[in-house]
Amino acid sequence: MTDRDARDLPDLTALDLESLRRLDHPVLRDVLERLQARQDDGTETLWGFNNSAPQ
Amino acid sequence: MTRAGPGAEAGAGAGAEASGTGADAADGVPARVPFRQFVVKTHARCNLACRYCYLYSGPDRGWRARPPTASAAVREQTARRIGEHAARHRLRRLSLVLHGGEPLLHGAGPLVAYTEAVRRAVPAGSTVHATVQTNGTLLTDESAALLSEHRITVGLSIDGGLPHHNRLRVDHAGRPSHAAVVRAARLLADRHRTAYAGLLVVVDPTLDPAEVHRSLLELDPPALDLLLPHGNWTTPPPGARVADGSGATPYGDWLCAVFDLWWRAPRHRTRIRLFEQCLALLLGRPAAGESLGTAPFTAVVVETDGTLEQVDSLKSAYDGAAATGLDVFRHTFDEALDHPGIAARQAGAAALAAECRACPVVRVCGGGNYAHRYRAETGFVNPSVYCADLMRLIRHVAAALAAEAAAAGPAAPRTTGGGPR
Repeated sequence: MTDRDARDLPDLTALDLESLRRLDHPVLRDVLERLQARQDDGTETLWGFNNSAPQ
Repeated sequence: MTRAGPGAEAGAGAGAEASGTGADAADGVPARVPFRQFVVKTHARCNLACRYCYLYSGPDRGWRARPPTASAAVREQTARRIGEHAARHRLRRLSLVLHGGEPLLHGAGPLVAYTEAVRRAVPAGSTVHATVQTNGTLLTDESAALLSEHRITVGLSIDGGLPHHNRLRVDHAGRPSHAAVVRAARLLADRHRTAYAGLLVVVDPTLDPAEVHRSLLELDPPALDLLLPHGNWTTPPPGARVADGSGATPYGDWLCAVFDLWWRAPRHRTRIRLFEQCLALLLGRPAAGESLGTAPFTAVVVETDGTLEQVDSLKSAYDGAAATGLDVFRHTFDEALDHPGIAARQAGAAALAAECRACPVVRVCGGGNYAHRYRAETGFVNPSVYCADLMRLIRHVAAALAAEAAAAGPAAPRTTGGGPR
């Protein structure tokens, strides 16, 4: 990986998710809602086996 | 040739460097994370003979010596062990994946029996989420109804909605399976919607991504996952450009094309797990999955004879790669957590190759699927054979998300502006 590649990757970890959720972007909104719903229960984030359809 | 097994190198590394997975342990050894996904083989044979099958056409031969079905004794003992594990670790939710071979070869009844045995065995307050992963060719309205009645969801394996997308998914006589699987998908979508888990798709970069994506949406899945075909540095996947120095990323390009279609859709049509994982990890949120990230892997397999194994994907590396030497009659699931191969997959970045640990996208990539890192001379402590393809996808998704964030104004991201860590 070149240095140029490293510089091109933005840091997105500090984004304000509420602001993103208000955007007119149906797919992003759905993903963020799902992340919010899982925030209090991390169990599903430990269901990583991927040779079955997502549960 | 000496073959380095799974976890043999990383097990030592994981002990030496606490990775922060699970709770901290006083002695500096990362605490084990309990199993939460129990993949139970209900049938060890398959009515299809898919030409890329890593299980029956790959290097592993273990299935030949195993009984075709899980006996009542194996089911009951497995259920007892799951209940014991759930009680010991106070698991509120766990996943039961009914797998094979082809689980429906003996109908839905045995699957229901297995699920109910597990539900009886777990403590009160522990919920069992059951799903069956099937090729769909044997799914009937009656079996779908029975599975649905017992809250068992159904996942279908299909590589696209059109016949030529599934040219590799044939039976033992070479006959196509496509029509039967599409029938199963429409049955679930139209009559058993709550039991429809989704579709599992193996990526073929020679196929038109837009056509594959569009044809899959016509099967109305609530979710789908896109899997890279199993391969590694010693046995590269089909079409992978790993050693020619071209920098080509056929799989990455294909995934980016599908991502764009999914991302830019005027309305949300289906979940695509790989893309959701990537987005979550880019946002600094936890995400489960074997394809990306460094979350501890918490799945274990119980074969039809009660043998405990690591997940099947490892069998694409070499014969016996998934073996642990343990079984449900003589061992607990906690003992399986001590196996070096399983521990390595809970060690996070500590188990990765040095060049992966130094890579700025490691937090998202996580080294990719464990099985794809294998090289006969050095084991599993290598980058993924799909490293360049994963990099292509991750950067593409990051750019798309950053563009949306820019539109949000104050939510605009900071740029790292630095080199590798």
